Amino acid sequence: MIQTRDPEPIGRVVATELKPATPHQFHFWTANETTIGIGAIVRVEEPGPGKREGGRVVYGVVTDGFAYSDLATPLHDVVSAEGDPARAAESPSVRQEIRLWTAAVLRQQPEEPLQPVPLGAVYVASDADVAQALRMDAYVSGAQPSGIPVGLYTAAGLEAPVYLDADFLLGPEAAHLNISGVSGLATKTSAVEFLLASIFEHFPAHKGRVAALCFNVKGPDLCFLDRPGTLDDADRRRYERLGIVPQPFQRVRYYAPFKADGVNLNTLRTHPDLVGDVEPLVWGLSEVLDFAEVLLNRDDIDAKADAFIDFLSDRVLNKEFDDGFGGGHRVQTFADLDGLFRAIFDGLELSGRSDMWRTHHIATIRKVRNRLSNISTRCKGLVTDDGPSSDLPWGGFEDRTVYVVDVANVDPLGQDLVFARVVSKLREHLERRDLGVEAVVVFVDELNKYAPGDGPETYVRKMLLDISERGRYLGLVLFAAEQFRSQVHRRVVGNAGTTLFGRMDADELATPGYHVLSPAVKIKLATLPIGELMVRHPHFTQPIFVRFPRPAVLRGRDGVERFPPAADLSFEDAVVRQLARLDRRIRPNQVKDLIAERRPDDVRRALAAVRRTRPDDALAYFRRMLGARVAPATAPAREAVPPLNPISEEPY
Amino acid sequence: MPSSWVDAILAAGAVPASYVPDASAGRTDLEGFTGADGVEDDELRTYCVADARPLAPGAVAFLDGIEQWRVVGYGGVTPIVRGYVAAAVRRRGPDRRLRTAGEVSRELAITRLDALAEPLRRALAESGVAVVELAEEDAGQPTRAIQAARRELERARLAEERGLAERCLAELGPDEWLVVDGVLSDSAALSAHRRAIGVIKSHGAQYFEGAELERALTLPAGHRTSVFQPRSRGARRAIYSWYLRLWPWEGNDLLYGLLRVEAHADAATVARASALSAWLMRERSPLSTPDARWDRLLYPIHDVETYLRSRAPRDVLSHPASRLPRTGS
Amino acid sequence: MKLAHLADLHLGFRQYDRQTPRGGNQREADVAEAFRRTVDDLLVQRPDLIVVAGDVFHSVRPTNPAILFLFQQLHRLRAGLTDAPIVVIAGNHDTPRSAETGTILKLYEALGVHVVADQARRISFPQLDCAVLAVPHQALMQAERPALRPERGAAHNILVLHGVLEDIIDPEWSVSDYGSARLTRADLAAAQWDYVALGGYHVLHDVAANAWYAGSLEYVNPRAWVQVREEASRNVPGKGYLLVDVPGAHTTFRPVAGARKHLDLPPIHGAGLTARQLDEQIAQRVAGSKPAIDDQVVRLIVYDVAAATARDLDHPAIRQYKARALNFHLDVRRPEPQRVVGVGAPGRRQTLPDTLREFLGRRPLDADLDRDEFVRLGVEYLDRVGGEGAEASA
Repeated sequence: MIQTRDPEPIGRVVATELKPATPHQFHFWTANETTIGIGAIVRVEEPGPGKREGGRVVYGVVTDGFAYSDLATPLHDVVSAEGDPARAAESPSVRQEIRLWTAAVLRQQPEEPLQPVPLGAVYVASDADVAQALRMDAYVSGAQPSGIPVGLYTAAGLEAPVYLDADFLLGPEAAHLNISGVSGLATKTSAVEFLLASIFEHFPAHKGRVAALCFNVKGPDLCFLDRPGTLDDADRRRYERLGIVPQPFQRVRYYAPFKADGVNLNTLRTHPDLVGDVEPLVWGLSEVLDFAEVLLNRDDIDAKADAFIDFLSDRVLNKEFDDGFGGGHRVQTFADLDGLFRAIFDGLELSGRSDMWRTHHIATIRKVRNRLSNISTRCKGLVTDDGPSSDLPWGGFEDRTVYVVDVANVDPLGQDLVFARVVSKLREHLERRDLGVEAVVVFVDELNKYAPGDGPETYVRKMLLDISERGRYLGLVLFAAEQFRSQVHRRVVGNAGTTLFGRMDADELATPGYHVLSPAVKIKLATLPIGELMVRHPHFTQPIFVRFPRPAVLRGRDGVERFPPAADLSFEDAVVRQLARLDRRIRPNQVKDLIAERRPDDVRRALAAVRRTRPDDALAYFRRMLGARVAPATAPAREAVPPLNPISEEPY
Repeated sequence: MPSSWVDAILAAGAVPASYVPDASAGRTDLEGFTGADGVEDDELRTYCVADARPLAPGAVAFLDGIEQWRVVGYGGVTPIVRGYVAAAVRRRGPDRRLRTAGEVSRELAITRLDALAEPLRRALAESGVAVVELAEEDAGQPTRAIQAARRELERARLAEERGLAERCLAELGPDEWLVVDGVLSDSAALSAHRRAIGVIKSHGAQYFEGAELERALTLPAGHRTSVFQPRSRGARRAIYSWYLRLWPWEGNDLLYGLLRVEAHADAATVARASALSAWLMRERSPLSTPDARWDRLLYPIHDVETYLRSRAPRDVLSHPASRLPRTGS
Repeated sequence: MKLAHLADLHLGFRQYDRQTPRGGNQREADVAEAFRRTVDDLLVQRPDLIVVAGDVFHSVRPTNPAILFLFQQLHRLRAGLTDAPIVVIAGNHDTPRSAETGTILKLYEALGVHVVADQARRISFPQLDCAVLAVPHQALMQAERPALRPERGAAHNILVLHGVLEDIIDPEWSVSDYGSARLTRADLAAAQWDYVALGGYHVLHDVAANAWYAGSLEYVNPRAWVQVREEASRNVPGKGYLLVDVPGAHTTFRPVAGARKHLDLPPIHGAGLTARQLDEQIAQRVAGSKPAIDDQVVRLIVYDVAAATARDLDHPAIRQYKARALNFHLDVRRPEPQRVVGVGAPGRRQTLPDTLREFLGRRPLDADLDRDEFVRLGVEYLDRVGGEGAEASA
């Protein structure tokens, strides 16, 4: 499409000795009334030898604006108004004023030789200009386009789509996305939801399959991604302009651990109409022990404890193990493990020998025991004694599917554990190329908590650093959000190829990381409305402001109103619900009769087995797993056995 | 006690002043006393204009001109001066902003052609530049020639201003006034127009003496004198005039903030002298700083001058570093 | 309450072609003798309850002497310990494959023994304030197993069952050797019981502090040598039964001396030895055996003996050893085949996998790669290629 270009310039580049034009920055003035503002993209044309055509074309983005008059000093205004502000407005003449703008260069054509911006006429950028200015021409068109729409550049009455380069957003050239912004506006979550939808629709076919894994760490934010939200006409228009169908995610899988009762799901998506597709997330001792380091170094780095945990994993778990005090152990459950710990402590105390047990100090052992028993009590619904009865579909990840792991109400320790294990498993499978998809976007909010710049070294932070630095080769892509970017670990934010900023806290903007931004851009950031973002992307030499439509999914807050979470079910009812989910034929009373007077642990275990096995006849399998009850019968009274005649012949 | 005599005279009733006259910089060309006839009053009086209702015209056009020159060459000892004159009218409407309504400019060469060598003469002729000839008696001495060139240039400027002013008057709307920087009486059309006023900042001519002179020159701020009619000199037209003090002179000098206003010579002018004065009092704001003459320079006139200077060819000025707009604070 | 826990009597088990003076199988008589000695000890220890955790007979149709013998011994117990109930469950060996075959075990109900042969039963003994959940092999093999859980009502709860816990199977014993029901720890829920009496694993073994395999009373498995080795490695004091104090599950092992020993003589490495030299070493091993090999079950492994060398051994001498022992098994093993790589290389020649293994073992690797796994994969790939090559050339 050929754009008819408005031939009227809106400004002129000016340069003085004090404010010269450079290859990276220039100044221009406009009429007092103008459509451009901070963030607007402009085109400068060098006056050629002819009238218009000819020289160099420079694209810039407005980063600052100035207005001033010919007033020599403020005192003179006071003098002329005789000290009365009301009279200042009565002056018969208005002073000469200027609107002077500073713009940062986005691109020069030709690129070489790089020269100061010519003192030419300034025009509002068109669609095509925006594409040129942001170097999007290199990847939006061509044989294998890899543009991912991130929003609309909106200024001077123009709306132009802005694309990110998939190779730089999702690897392998660069990867990861970081988004900062004050909390409470839902901008971060909305932006990520929108961008995921955009990725799912525009991820180039030649790059294969892609999925997203979102950790829901607070409230109901990500609990309704499969439900349509309300959009207005402006949103729909923007979707159309960006080439995205405004619809909720087609494939979403929810995972949540149980509550402490082991049968009610620990999520806000418990409305009867929705809870059916929430899969439980339940792990066993060995899953926990593999990532037990997570539990340790929240407070300190402790190589000894690590060594002891390794010892437990390698030598004790699921093996015959002699405690050295005459006791044999086979540790399969948390209870078994505690038995071993007790035996060790008792043994050491009785023998009075020393504080060491197999080169491990008793203090280390106590510490490990405390942390492990912590996790088994504080995250009762996540860890069981019965092995992993329900886990993410490792190896079976599906294309264009969002996996939501809801750990919003899980103890922080448990959140860390879930996080560490899920990410490690993703990594493991991506390394082996058997996850089911070629790329996974992992969305983590609250990076201030998980990867702070200072504070103790934690396993989770180490892992985030590892993804940040090496994930792009694997297709493991981190989309991370936080309130205060300055307080996130440098290498995590530094490795994010693409950075989004929502409305920012003024104090945050005052930190050194934002010095490159002009005061005007900072002001704009500090007052950015919902739905607008500032984008930094490797192809863009300057940050660009874009507007994105509301995500087409039900917002968490609205979702909770429309689908209020159900009250916790009684144990029996929860079991009924879980079974009915697997097999619609099951009647509540059948289940209740079956489980009456059974131990909850046994019921949970049987339920877990059903979940694991997915039999055709869930009830029959459940009954089998519970086992038939054997009623007691009193032994019949017996006559004493009279002495018999000896058998005539010894048999042997 | 070197300065005690100053305190003493102040104590004795002298009005304090602080003024280093331009004269000290070298030029003294005070014109002599010419005299005036009372129109409003027989003897010059002062009127406070504070209570007068200011005239509030719907639109006002302001006219000013500039001249710039430099010696660009010599033919023998005869200087060749490049001169530039320009004038503009900037119109102020209800939005209080000034916009250019008309402008003229002219570049000229000033020299004595027959004192130049033939190739020089030919070059000038072929360039098409307008050449103004110096009088023969002025051309012989370079110093005199330059002074004469300046006079020619001023004459050219005044001619441009006059021409522009007259064109402007023709287009002036019914509720529209023209304010000219300088005297009206040079132009018949200006002198005769009822909504044209001249604002004079330099007081080379003196019309009073004795008690009337003192009344005129010690006029308090916000006061005007009676309307008078200067006695005509030479070709000047009949005009009414009065003094108006914009800013208190005490502490500065007698001419500080002092304007002389010229307007059409008729009874209506007398009737609205206070209203006109009150209007001009309002024009004190905004200040036309950083111009040194801000006490007398109306901002719109300053604006016209700024406009003209920014449009003038850069290479005429000896100081190319005129920065516009100033970014002092 | 004192409980006696016996298991895996395997009465009627026969092995080796050696007869008793009366013409019966000697090993069958040995197995019976072990049980007789056990009953002798039980009559002294006087437990309050006796449980037999399956495989009373070695087969569904035991020999007549075995049937008679059990009758005799159970009668001794019933007459001697009049108040002690006896609970016997059927194991995989004495459970018929089809119901119409019936079970001889029911015969012993006539003696007042509680025989549980097909469905699980929970038997309450009010005088002991005790309930025994007896779960025979058959009950564990049906689609819907009984729930192995105690019920409220009795002060003490005992579980008796016959089956193999998945995680204690010796890897050298494949499950098919067993035919026993397989169990998990979660199935047992040992913590909920006062005591779990297990049968089906022939070496004394604790599953939890209160859950034990008592082991068999004799070596009644063709692979007796594996048991011998396991007993040695875990310091198990041999064969016997358990006395258990309930509550508390304090166990005492009551060893039962066998009629004879199983002697695994120190193996001989025959590489490079002549037949004569081997004969000498065999003679030395036999001479050095303590106790002497006479009437014992003896094994001697000789590694790396070529077929020709084996033919030249002193067979008369060997026949003599066989005559002395109840059984003398000279286990002569051929050298393991080695593929030779490279011609004329000095010293021991390496196979291709060895060469690869050695190379991969010292090649520099990224720190985070698991070298063992790396080497294993490499060798596996080589194997695969080798296999394909062999097939292609065949």
